[in-house]
Amino acid sequence: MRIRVVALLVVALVAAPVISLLWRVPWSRMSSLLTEEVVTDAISLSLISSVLAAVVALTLGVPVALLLSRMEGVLASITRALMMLPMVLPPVVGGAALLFAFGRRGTLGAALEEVSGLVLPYSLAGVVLANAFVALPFVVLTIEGSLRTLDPRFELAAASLGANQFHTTVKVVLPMVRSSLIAAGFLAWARALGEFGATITFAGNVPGKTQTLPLAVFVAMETDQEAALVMSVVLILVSLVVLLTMRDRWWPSR
Amino acid sequence: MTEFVDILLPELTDRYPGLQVQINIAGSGTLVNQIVEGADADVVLLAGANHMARLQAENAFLPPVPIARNSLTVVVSSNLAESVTTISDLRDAGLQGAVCVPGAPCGELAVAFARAVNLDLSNATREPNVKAVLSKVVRGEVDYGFVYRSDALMAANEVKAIEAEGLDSFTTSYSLALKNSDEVSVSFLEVVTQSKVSRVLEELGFLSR
Repeated sequence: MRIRVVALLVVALVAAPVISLLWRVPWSRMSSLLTEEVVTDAISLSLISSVLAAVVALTLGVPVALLLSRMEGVLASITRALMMLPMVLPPVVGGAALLFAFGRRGTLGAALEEVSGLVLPYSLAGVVLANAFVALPFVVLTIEGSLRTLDPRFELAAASLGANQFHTTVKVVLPMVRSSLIAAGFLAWARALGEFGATITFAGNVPGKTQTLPLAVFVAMETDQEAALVMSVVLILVSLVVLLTMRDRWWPSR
Repeated sequence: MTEFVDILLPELTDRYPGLQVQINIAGSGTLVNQIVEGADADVVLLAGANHMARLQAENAFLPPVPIARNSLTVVVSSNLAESVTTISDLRDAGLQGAVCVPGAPCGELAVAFARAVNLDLSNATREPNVKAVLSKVVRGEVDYGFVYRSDALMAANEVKAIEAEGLDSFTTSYSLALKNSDEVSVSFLEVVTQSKVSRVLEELGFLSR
């Protein structure tokens, strides 16, 4: 009984700020604010970049998860710690690190610009890179965890029937962790949608190009608080809809 | 404005040994938001008349006292010091610019100036504050940035200021408002407005109030 009371208090504690925010929203100005170019630009950019970042993080995360799930020992621990780093680091530090690597004067970025003329900061590609960077640990963590619970006999059976390692992985192993692949994709997407620090530090804040919803909210807080609130509502609604449709899929199948 | 604090604090603690000063450094718009939402402050130092007006309208602060001014400056990264020397050089489409966010006075000034000289800033990145703009130019992550005269002076070894007619007429004023007229607060105001501090500020590139 007492646990239930504490739990309800905690739920109320999380709900209170959200409800207080909704309380302040200028609902009568909602439709006019939602059609402002800055707002529509930020919404579409956020949706595009977060989905792309989730796809990138998932694509890059699966091989790492497969590798880690088969590794033991110190080297595995070090690799895993490195892969988890962007989750623990303050995003602004991650953004700065990306800048030192892929910025215009970065170790790789300068060479990239020289060879291909491609500049990652101030572009959609930069936003996707920053978002995928912070989302990657969630993918690796989720998928490795469920790979480790698999019975190795399935793989052995596939191998004994003549399937090579690539085939076994694609046709046998990955389908068995399908629900955690989906969960990982959505976790990565959710992390990318709310990403602020790494994005503004690495990709900058160019309206219509790299100004995602969180960045637009940050800017609007000082100029047009009502617009900031309206964009916050969009973020809350999109997140809630996805969380509700996902429901139990957040957890790898039991 | 962080330079202010570094100069003022020692002066104040000289007068009141043992005085504990808590400082909250943020953009002026953020500071006003925080105070409007209930943050407690005895002294507020803000850039830009708009933010001070908003503070005055919503809260019981004493009338503001002007401290100093700063004028808008364009700086270019050191590798472009030779090739980009005028405002029309900035119109080169390949150049990446940086300005402050629209809510910050440095951003408002930059946008007003750009409109006056017909410079397109739509591709420029909007940085949270003027120090962020300066650091992007210093590190060469952007080609040019709109900062203040004092910032350009501080980083004179790493960036180059562009001369442009009329640029120095775009200025921001810094002003200070007290919550109460108690002894320490009034003393703080005295420290801030004494000629010694004004001289140091002018050496740093600020303009007199």
